[in-house]
Amino acid sequence: MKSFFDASALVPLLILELHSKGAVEAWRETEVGYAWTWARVEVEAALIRRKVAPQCWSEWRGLDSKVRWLHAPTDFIDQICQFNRALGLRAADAGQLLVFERSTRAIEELKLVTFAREMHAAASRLQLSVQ
Amino acid sequence: MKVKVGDLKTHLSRYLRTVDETGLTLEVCVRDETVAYLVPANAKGASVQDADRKLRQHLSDVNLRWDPAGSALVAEFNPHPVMAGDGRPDVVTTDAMRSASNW
Repeated sequence: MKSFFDASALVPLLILELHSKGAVEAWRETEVGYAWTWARVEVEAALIRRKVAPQCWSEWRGLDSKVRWLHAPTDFIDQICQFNRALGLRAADAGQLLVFERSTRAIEELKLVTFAREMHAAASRLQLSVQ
Repeated sequence: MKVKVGDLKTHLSRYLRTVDETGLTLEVCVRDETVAYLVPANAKGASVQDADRKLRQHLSDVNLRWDPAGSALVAEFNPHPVMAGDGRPDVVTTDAMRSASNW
């Protein structure tokens, strides 16, 4: 399976939280994992806020190296604003969802893995494939 | 790509799929010593670079970019989430961060 991981699905791979079981299952079913580079900022913010042990940072480096990171162009903010006018999502949700939506046009059978409720609902409204 | 024999036994199906999909050769190691190679049976692997090039073109068409680096094989990372320093397993960190007014 080809999966696009939102930060909400990467963090529980490292920290034990409500959706860890689901995230691990999704990771184990995945053959190729994609994510937007912005998720790196969010994952590291989560590790700092949750005061994780150094071992967890080491795990993060291992995970980081196994993801295919997708880069967005510098004028991406304008595109996110336009995309989000009909959705009204939080900024990070909107950015992640737009990168996923674009990715599905380039990568066949790509599925979104997210545990952010608003993003999940918006993806379903847009009839995007969600895990 | 190196793989420990224990990992190979546990995740054999995934590693076989990886070899088939990527065309990479696996080095099977026992105590850090390479004892065998697991190689793809068909020529699918030969077209991996071509597939990567096509993927990059498709992504470029939708204004995204991907720079292939390393093996990026999902099967090589086996997640084991650990308790955070604050000892709370009952939260969704990303959702909490995105909802915080000072995020």
